[in-house]
Amino acid sequence: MNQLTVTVRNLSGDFRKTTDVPADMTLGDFKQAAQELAGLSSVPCSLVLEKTNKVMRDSDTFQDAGIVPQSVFILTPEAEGGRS
Amino acid sequence: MQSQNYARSPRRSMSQERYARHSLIPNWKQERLAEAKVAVVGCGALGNEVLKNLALLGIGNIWVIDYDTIEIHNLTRSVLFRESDIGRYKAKVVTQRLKELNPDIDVHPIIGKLETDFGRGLLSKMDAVVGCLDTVRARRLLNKRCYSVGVPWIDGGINHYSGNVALFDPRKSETACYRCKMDTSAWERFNESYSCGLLKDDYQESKLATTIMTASVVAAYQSEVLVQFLLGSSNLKPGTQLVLPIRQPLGFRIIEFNIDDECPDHHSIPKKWNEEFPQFKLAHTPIQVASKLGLNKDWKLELPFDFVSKAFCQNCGTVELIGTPRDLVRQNQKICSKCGYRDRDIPHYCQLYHTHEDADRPFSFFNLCHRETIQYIHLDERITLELTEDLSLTKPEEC
Repeated sequence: MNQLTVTVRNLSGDFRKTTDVPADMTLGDFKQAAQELAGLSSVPCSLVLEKTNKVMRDSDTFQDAGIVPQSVFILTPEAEGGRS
Repeated sequence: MQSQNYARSPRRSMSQERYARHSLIPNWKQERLAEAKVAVVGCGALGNEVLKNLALLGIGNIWVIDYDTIEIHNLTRSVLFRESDIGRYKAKVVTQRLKELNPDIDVHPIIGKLETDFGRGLLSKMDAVVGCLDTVRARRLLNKRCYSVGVPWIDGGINHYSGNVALFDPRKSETACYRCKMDTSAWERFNESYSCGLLKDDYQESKLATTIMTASVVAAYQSEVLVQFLLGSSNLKPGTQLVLPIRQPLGFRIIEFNIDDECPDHHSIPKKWNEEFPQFKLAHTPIQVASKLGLNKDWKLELPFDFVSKAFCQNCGTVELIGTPRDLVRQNQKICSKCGYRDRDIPHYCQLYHTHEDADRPFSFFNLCHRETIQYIHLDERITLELTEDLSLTKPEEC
């Protein structure tokens, strides 16, 4: 099975993890795992490819999304408050 | 034409001095702001800041939509509220305060919900809508309504350390909308208040930590995007979101969402803008209007939401009139008030066939408001019309 090495970090950069992932893993599963590692599991986050600033689709695999080895992802918090 | 009026009236000439500093800004068009029509949905922390900005900027026609009343905990983040306002409707209070801030502008409060109190006929006249909401469900609904009438909207969201501002524009249909960007966890939050399609009895909206700092920064950017949009084009592109880490000086980042090819909101974008539709009274019935439109009996009426007309008790046979959008029906309404049976049948529909008994009820029965638009489907044709309270009393500012 194809594997690739990618890095995920939070916005401030104080969390940063480089890991090997299977190419057929979905980006939604990867995001969820990364959020847990970063202590952001209770915060809604987008997974953004640093190079393009594009938000990744949960249902896409690394392969579907054309992710290349050494790519860096940013966990970007989604703020949802404001009315009350 | 309107800019000439703007210059002629005594109030407006006084205003020219009011806006003297704005006039020094290259390419600034105060008249454009004065004639703009903007709706602000939500009058909480973000809404207060956005509305304050719009009033000071001289945005000439503002609609304010909120169903809520002021509570003491709102006062830490709401520049327009006072302690003496507790218990009053937010939309009413902000209207009063905005007029004090800037008597030049017209402000129209709508105390109610977006879905049932701010008709799409009126919504379609807006230049833009500013969303100051705090749930995925409310944002999804605003997106759906804005896309169905082709009006752009600017979303804002905050927590206690960051915020975001996004622009969604149905006129740029090649760009993502809020519905397109909803991921798995957003759909979970969208559905968390519902069980089997009914509102949970014990559901409490989660309370999010927010501060006036995040509210004022995000509202400032929402206002900036709005002004740029009204004066030409926004530097923030549709389908993108500005991410604002506020507690740490990390700089801003713009992220881009992917369009969802299957997005139903994109499919609802009208082909023509600013179309005028025939008007009918809310007191009319679907059958009466179909007859006036010359439709034969093969028509159906599409409502803007799933609607529950009645609840049926299979145990005692009692039929209770509900007359509510399905989203507002609570789980406890499954219980029969007569015999206590806990699983009444609560059917719903969004298309009303000409043979349905409700087709002879007035449009007001369906919780449709003044200036709501609806569509008849006849053969393969869609016929849109606008509902009004009373044609002789049509006031564009009221719903």
